[in-house]
Amino acid sequence: MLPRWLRRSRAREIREEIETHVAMATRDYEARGLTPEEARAAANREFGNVLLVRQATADVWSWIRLEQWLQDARFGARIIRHAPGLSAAAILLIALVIGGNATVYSMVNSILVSPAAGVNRDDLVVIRHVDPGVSITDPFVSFPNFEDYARHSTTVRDFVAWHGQRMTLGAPTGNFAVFGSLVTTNYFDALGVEIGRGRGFLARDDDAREGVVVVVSHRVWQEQFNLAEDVIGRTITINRIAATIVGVAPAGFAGALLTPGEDLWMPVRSYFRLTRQDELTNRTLPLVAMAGRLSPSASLAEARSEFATLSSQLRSTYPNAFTTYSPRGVVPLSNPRAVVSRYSATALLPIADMAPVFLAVFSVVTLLTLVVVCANVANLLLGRTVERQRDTAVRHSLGASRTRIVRMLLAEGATLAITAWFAAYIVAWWTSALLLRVIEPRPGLLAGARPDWTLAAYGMTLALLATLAFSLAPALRSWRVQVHPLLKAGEQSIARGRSRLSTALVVVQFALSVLLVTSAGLAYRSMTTLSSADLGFTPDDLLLVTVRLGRGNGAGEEPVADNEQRAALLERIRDRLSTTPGVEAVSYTRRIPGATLLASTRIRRDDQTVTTGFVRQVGPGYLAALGLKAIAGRELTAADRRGATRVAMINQRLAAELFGSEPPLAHSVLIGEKNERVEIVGVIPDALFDGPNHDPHPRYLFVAEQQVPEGPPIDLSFIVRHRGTLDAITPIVTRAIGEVDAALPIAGMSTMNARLALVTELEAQIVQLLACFAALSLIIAAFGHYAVAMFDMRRRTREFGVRMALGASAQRIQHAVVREALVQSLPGLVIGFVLSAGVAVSFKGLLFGVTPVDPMTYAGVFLLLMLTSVVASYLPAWRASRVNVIEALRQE
Amino acid sequence: MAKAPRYQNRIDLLQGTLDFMILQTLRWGAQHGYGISHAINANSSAAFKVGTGSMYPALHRLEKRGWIRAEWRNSENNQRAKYYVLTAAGKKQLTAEQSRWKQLVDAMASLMKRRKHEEA
Repeated sequence: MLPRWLRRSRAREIREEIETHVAMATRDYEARGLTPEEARAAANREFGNVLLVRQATADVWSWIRLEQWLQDARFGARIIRHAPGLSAAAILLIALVIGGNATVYSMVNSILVSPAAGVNRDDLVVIRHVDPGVSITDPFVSFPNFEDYARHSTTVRDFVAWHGQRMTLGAPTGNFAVFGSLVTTNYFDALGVEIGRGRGFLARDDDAREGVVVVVSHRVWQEQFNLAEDVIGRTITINRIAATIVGVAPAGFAGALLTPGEDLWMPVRSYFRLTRQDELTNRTLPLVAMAGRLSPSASLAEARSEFATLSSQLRSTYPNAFTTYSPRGVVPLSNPRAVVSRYSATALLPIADMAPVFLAVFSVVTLLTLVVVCANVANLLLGRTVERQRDTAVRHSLGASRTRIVRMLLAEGATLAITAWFAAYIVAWWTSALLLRVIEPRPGLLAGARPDWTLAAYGMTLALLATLAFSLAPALRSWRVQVHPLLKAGEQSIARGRSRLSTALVVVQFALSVLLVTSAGLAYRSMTTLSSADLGFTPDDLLLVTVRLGRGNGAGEEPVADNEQRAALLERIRDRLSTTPGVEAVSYTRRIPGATLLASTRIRRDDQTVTTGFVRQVGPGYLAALGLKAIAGRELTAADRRGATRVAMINQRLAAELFGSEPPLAHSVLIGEKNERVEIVGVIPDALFDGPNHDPHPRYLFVAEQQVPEGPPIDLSFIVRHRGTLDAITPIVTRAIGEVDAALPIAGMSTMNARLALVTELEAQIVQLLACFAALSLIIAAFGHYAVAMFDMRRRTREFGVRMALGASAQRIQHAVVREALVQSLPGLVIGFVLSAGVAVSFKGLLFGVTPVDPMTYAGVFLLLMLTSVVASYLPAWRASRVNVIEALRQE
Repeated sequence: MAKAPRYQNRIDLLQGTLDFMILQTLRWGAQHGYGISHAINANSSAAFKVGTGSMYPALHRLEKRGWIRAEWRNSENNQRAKYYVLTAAGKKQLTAEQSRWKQLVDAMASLMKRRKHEEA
């Protein structure tokens, strides 16, 4: 743009030039004998419109486009002052949609691309193998495979491997079950993890001649050593192996992957040398995850093709080189393919495969929502356009070009969009804070998931697209405007007939809102029923103590080695606890409420009578610990030990299912794939042993833990019914367990009530999220309704004027308008209800105590949506009824 | 009112022609706006009536393009006026325009001759 002084002087020069022209002409006319006044008039007449010429000449010099754009921008900005309600509505809508979506997008994206805390390299890649025949493969390769890759690859250097596992940390303060990794000695260097204190690993740490060394997490240093300065050099035990602490990892570092969060790192070679040497040479055992640094001269594509070659070479040499874990144990991959991808904390987790799909679906949904919102805003602006038809026509006739008018409308749209963009940014901040609170992810998981500049750019793109979309509709309408009839007729001849598209949109929006609100309502009803369900036992005063026994199959670490020993240990602890003061009853179980997966097992009486149920392994006195009694027969006792007849107790529901009215005692049933025969010794009440369940009448069969052939599992929980406060009983129980086996790690403590709350927590979160979506959708639908109603009212101003002139009262007009709105929302409601019922029926399994067509919910939704519709249409109706009769009629 | 033809369009229509006529006029030496409009009206035997609303923007456009140069000096009546002078670039442009117009005229002439032939 020209500086102001230059423009001024240019304008002055043009004025002078024109004055000279007129003066010369005047002089000539005077010379021809006209009087000075006549000459002046003639000269002026001849010259024409001085102002116009001046402007046209100045325009040659001005950067006319830019100036006009600025003028447009100023014009556009006026919309906020002139139509504050409309602007606020439009801005709010766009901000909510863009802001909300951008938040979710950035969160998922940040989960996908962020490195783990403490990892500082940007050239890291991970290598895993996928098989089209296997849906989810573990990212592990055998150690010999890893070594071969490391030896032969030219595109990737600094190969690291790690093997994560559960470990028992023996520290001065006790035994703790933690996760740790056995790593190659270059682990910290290659990942760029800066060791905060002490050192990382050296190549010589591999041979363990000077003893095993360990690097501990900052958390362990803090919690177990109270940040002691002299922690380096101290000895701890890991899985009962003594190890010397040589370093402390930086705060926040918890392994290269997001889960499970590691606390200990040891050199893999020295550890296995001391424990299970053969695993490092076993080519068919998937053992380690693998990463490396892309060499500076290689591209990712080159690395990919190299690894494709390397893996096929490996396979031709060792046909069974690639394996994965499956429910059936380690199985070979039939068609493995090496995948090299950029490292992130989630690159090796299943989410890496699922999230892009989620993002794609999410983007489509976002765009659709945006389209709906844009349509709403377009409707709002369209209403305004109609109101301004006359204004536009006047401008048009005064010489404003069509493009200029369209530009002005676009400028208005841009003003709204840019404001909305800022608002969206605020919304994004707010929703991310809210979501972080609602979802409560693992600490550190979403720490970086805050709106950033890439997100802002993303939002801006959406906002600009939105602008184009919602300004162009009214703009194009005004393009077609015939000036003449408008100037004559005023507001009625434009926008004849209701836009079918916008009406259809309102119906769709309403249907979607109904669906969302109904879903939220059903989920809420389900959740409240669920959390108030009668458990069948009293969950108060029950302490749950989980101990880690280790695994019997040799793959993990075993605090207690032998199956028999572990079973015996359980009984010893139970005996000890039952004589502990303050303990009323005690037993143990493999499962406590709050587990996410409940797998049922086949239970067979004979070939005809087969059903499924939950099979639970429990200790003696389980019912008593829960405060229950067998209805018939007896409960499991200490006498049901290995070698005796395998026995079971079943709940009434299962008894009815398998035996009808027959007494089930002394009958046998076969359970699971292995058809293990157990004899029924007791029938017990129908309690919800796993907490509220979506099946309100679950079938249960309890067998004695002591009789399970493969021995106790890794984790097992004691159920302690106690007197007195939790604070008082906890140390007593811990001490009692320690007295039986000082080395036994306690993996967790909880109360029955806390675990039961976990069961409904997921439902509660789903309800919260659904409620958020439903509210958003309701707002959008309400605005949509409002926009269409407003547009309609504008169009019908004269009609109302006539009606009122003929004696209709304002109230009557309002009633008529609201009634019309209600009728209009009916199709949306009906479609929505049909959709909801369909969706709810297909998700019946997730509902508890509520039918998919729960009348209460549907009635509530009906009222809510009707109310929305009334509110959304009342305001325009009220405005319409306040029309000035004379005004309205004069438009004719 | 609505039929009022738009100002800008008339310029567009005349633009090339007008520019050429102005350059042609300035061939003979420096001249001010009033003089140029008189010269064009006189030389074209009043076939063209150049409105000031077209001419002044055209003059300034030519000045902006660097084909003519403006200077304030006193007129024969000792009145300060803005005089326009052809620049070197303007002269070159004028030559180019002249040959272009000549081509156009020749083409039109031969077209009209043939037309006459056909009519005969």
